[in-house]
Amino acid sequence: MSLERVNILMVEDNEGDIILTKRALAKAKLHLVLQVVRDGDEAMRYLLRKGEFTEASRPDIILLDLNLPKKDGREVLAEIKSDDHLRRIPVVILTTSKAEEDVMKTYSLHANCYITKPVDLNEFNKIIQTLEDFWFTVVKLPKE
Amino acid sequence: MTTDKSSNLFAHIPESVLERKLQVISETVLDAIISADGKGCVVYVNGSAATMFGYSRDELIGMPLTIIMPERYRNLHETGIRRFSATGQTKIIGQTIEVAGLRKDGTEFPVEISLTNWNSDGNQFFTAVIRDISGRKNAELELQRWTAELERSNSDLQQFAYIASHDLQEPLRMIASYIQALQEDYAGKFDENGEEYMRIIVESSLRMRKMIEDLLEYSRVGYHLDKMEDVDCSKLLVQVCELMNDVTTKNCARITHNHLPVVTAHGVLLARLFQNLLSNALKFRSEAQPEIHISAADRGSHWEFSFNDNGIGIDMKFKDKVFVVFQRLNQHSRFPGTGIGLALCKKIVENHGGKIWFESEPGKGATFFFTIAKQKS
Repeated sequence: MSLERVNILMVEDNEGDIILTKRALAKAKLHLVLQVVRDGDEAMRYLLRKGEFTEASRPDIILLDLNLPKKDGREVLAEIKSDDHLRRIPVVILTTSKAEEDVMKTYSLHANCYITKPVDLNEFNKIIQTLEDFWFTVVKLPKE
Repeated sequence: MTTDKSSNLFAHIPESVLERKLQVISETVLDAIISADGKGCVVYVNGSAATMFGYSRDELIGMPLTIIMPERYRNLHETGIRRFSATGQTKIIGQTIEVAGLRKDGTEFPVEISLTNWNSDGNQFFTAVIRDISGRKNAELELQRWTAELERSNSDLQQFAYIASHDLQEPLRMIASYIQALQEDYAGKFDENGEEYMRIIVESSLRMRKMIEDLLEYSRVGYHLDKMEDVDCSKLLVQVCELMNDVTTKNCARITHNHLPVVTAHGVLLARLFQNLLSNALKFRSEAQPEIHISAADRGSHWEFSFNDNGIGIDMKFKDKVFVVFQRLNQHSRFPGTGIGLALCKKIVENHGGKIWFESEPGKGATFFFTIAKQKS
C-alpha cells in the first residue's frame, strides 16, 4: 500500500543536513511534504498543534536528531512515545552520534529505528531512499 | 614465642661471649630495640632507640613503655598487656604492626613494631623491635599522588581525544557531503580540472574521516583493563580468520598456526591485535601466494607470539617508524590505510605489559613478534 501524500516532520538544527535531506527527498517518486522544525520546543509545539502550529498536519513519520537546542531530542522522543495521540507515529532517529549508549537509550524509549548520518553523500541518499521504500511502500502506517 | 627456644640455640656458647655478641648486634642495628618488664617499665634500650625517640638512655630506663607511644595508643597497650598477663591471649605479640611512635619533642612518626615476650627466672619481659618507616610511608604517599595524577591526566587526555575527534567529524561530514553534492548537481558545469579538484577534496575528507575514527579507537585503548579475562588464543585466531574470510579468500592466502596458549587479556583488544597483524600480512603481500604462520614460543615468564608472512618485507631502518601513529612507508594509492594499524597494535601490546617488534628484509617477508605475560597459575 502506498500513500498519496506523505507528511514528514524533520526535527533538525543543522542547516547543512536540512538541505541535504531536502535534496535527497526531492528525487522521490512519492509526493512528500517536508516540514522542518529547528529545536525540541518547536517540535512539541508542532506535534501538539500549539502556538503558531494550530493548523499543522499530523506527520506520518518523524525524522528526529538527538542533539537539539532547547529541548533535547531524547526528551522529545520520550514525550512523543508517552503521548496517547502521538505515540503511534514512527520515529526515525537520524543523528551524528554512533555512541552505543545513545542507541540503547533511544530504543529503550521506543524509537522505531536508529540511523547514524553517514559522511558519504551516496550513503546518505541511499538511506533516504531506503526510508522511503521501507516506511512508505513496504510498511503499513497507522491512520490517525 | 618464648625464651626457652633461644636458650637452646645458644646453649653451647659461654654466657659472657654470647652476651657480648648480642650487645654488639644490638648496638649496631638501625632499628630500635626496647625491653620492658612485666609491669611495662623499660629495662633496656639500644643506641638506636635513644636516637630514634630523641631521649638519652637514662631518660628511658625505668619509664613506662607508653612514653614512646602517642596518647591514643596507650589504653590499647595497657589493656593488651593486662589481657596477656591474665589470659596469655594477645593480638600483637609475635606479629608486626604499623602504628605511630612519639618522640621526646612531641612529634609523631610512623613505625613498624614487632613485639615478643620472654621469661627469665620466672619474670615476664617484653621486647619490641621498632623500625622507623617514615621514608617508606613518604614514598608510598608520593606514589599514590603520582598515580592519581596520572589517572587524572589520562582521563583528561581521553576525554580531549574523544571530544576533538567527535566534534571534528561534523564539519568534515558537511564538507564531504557538499562537495559530492556539487559533483552530482553541477556535473556538466565543471571542466576536467574542476572535476579533478573536487575528486581530491572528497578523497581527502573521506581519508580524514577515517583518521579521526582510527584516532578515536586508538585513544580508547587502555581504558578497559578492568575487563581482563582468560582468552584462548587458538580459538581467538579462528574467530579472527572467520571475520577476515573475504580478504583471505580473495588473496588465496594460506594461514597456519601452532598451538596457541590461553592468556589473560582483554579479548576484544587482543582480537584487534591479531586482526591488524593479519590484515597487514595480507595487505603487504608479494606476488607469491600469501603464506602466514602464527606461533607462540614459551619464554619462561612470558609467551612470545610471532606472525610470519612472505610479503614485501620492511627495511629494518624503519623499525621504530612503523609503530608511530599515522606514519606510512608507502604511497597512499598503492596501499590504502591511515597508518595507525601498527601504532594501535603497539598500544594494545604495551597496555598488556608486553613489547612488540619485527624482523624483516625487503623482498623476504616479515615476522612480527609480541610478548604477553603468562597467566598466573
